[in-house]
Amino acid sequence: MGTSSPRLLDLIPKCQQEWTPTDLGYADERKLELRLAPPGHEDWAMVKQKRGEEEEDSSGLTLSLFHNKSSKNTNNSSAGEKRSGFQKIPSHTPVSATHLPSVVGWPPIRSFRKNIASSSSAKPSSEVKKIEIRGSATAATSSTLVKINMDGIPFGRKVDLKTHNSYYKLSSAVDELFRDLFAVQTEEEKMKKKKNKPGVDKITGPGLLDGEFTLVYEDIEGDRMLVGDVPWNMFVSTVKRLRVQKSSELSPALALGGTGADRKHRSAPPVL
Amino acid sequence: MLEVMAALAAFPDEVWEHIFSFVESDTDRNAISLVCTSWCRIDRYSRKKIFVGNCYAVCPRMVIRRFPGMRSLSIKGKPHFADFNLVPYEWGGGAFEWIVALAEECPLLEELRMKRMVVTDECLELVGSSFRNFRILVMLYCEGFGNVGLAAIAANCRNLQILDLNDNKVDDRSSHWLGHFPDVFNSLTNLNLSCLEGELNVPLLQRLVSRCSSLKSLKVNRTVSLDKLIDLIRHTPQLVELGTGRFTADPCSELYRKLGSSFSGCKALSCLSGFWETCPSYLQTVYPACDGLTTLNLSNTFSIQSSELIMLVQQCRNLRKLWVTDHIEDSGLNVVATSCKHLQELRVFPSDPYGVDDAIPLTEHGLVAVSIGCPMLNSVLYFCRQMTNLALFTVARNRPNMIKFRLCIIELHTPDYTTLEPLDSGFRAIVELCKGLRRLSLSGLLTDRVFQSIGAKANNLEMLSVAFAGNSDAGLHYILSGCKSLRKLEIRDCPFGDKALLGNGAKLLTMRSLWMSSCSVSLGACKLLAKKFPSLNVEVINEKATEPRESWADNCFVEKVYIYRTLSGPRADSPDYVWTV
Repeated sequence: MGTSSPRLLDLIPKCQQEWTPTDLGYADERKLELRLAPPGHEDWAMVKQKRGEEEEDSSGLTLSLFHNKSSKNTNNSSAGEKRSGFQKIPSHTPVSATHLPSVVGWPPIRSFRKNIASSSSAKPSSEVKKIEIRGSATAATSSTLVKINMDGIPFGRKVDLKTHNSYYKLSSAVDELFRDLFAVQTEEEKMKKKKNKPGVDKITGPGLLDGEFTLVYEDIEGDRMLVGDVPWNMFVSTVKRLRVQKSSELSPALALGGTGADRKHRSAPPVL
Repeated sequence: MLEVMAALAAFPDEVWEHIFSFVESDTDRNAISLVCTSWCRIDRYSRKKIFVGNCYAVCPRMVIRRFPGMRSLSIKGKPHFADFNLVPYEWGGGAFEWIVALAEECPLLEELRMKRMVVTDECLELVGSSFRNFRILVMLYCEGFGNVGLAAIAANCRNLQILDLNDNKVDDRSSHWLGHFPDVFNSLTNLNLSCLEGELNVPLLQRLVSRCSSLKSLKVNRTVSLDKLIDLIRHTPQLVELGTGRFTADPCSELYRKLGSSFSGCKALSCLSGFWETCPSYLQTVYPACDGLTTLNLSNTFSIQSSELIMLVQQCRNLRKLWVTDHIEDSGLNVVATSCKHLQELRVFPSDPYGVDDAIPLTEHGLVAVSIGCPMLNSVLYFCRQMTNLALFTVARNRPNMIKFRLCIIELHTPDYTTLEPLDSGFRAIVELCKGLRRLSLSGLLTDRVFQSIGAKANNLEMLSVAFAGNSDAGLHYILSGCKSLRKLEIRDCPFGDKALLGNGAKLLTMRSLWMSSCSVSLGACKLLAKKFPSLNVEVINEKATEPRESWADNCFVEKVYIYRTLSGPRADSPDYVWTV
């Protein structure tokens, strides 16, 4: 959902846009899809699209993290057009009823409700009963497994925040997760770099900006924040998804620091 | 006839004033004020409650001068679609200008109700320091304030009776502001803190509620645990309305017993809400109170299964209002239909609105069952994933008394799944058979034909929400050229454009507002409309435009446009991305 790709809607507010980095184009994002093909086979999705298959085909091969968003884009990329800074959106383009769209403000639920939904366990059933038996009052919140992606790595991974109970441990776990993948992926780049800096790059500690990569996260309200801004417990209860991002590509607002709370209350600068 | 008129005119003003005091509805009062100059004058000096549906439709001082006896003001800010993030951040809706004017010119104000407004701490401080007899503060979907403002209210409003903070975005890092209520303060009747996110200071709260002997309504937030809730309600057996906190705890028979006796102790209890993170076994402690319940809001709880909801609902035979999540399932709604014969309002929210997993068996059947079983049902908000024309027709035929009907089929453009037809005929039945329908939200696959029916038949419709529907301009034309009573229209992602808008511009003068986003309205049309009707504010919102507005071409589509009639001209506080053309 980069700025270059037409969106289904032109009303995604800034705060929602922010997570998908503006400099990460649609094509880049598709590279981040999880799929059962070796890394580097970027054309797979394109081929599939050309064949005109339905998004929801039962092949089950596309395990995309960004499934909804990217399929949305696919739907409308041919029809959208841009005129003098406005986006003309063919809003009446029928959307396949078989998949759930990621449209701002739809379904029409107040954000207050959404917060309740996301912070409570959506699944009733046995889970809760088990909790009852175990007698743990706090475990009613959702799972602590969080998706994590890294710039330039086509695979996503998951980390369990319960087993890494501090920022420091999380940082080293993330480093472990991606180190090898990253080494394979950017072998040539690595070669160059090794001349200056021997050894595998260690991802810097959370929120430290002196390294090549920075750990950022999307919170339950959809805002992108620096990992390390808030106390660990608060982080665990609000994090929705993690991302290891090139420090050079952080948006200036994030890179300049300031507390997360400050940023969240700062207005998006007007574009005009 | 003339003689009668002359005789009536001879009544002294005081007599008329007394008669008018029995007329409560704003529309009737408005009608009175249009009869003659003397009635206008009498109404002007005697009207105490004022409602302003759009804070930009009139300037505050104008209102205060027209109604110098005002004691109560209800005012709304942002458009309704702001609830769904469609109105950009810092769009406006600030309360400050109003409160400053009220503080200066209306010191006897007793009641202030604000909806979708930005209320800063400064605003609340001003409220606290300006109105001697201030009694009622209600804020709904507001934002911008925090502890400081609340502390000012607590410390200064000595006669406060109602403090209702419902679904506001509050910056509350601590609840110490509760300690600012003076020790002698005991006038509270309603206290709603359900929207606060920070930990509530329960000892402070307990001290406060135990000295307010007329407290009728108490709603705490999700941080309050069950054992603390017991402490709170032990001091307030007179409660009529209770919003619980976290309804979960370690299994403990002692707690279970205490909670049960607390609920049986609240003899007057008629409204229950809260229920965050509910533990099914503790839910049973509520049973003793169920018979007296008229309102039950379980929409915050996602952890209760259908079977448990059914057991609870079966006990609540006097319910008027029920809010639940779709975990109630069709089977639960069947039970509602047989148990709750007085039900008037039903809201079913999605537990997982963005999930692709639609395994929850909540369908059109549940809605149909309730429409058959509950003869007084007149207000519905229903989120589901499938619908048929037949079901809608059945609902309409069963419930011609329907006043509010909002249906959200979560997937866009969903047709009748049995026939794959659009849902036009189903919604046509709703507007044709429910003659008193005042509010309608559409969803599913819809063509222009549905708007033809709505325009022609929905004569009492006041608010219409449309999303992802219609095929052409004709749709909007049908709405604007019909719908005699329409006041608010909100449209998103529909192929409605210039011709219908310009062709029915005069209709907008009779309405409060029109919102259109991601439609086919051009900048040129907005300009023309504004030029033709100077009493309309036509606000073009283009957040993404990169070029200066002077260079925008007239044939460009605007991202969003918000049109409303106003007596006070273009507003002064609009952000850069809003252009009142």
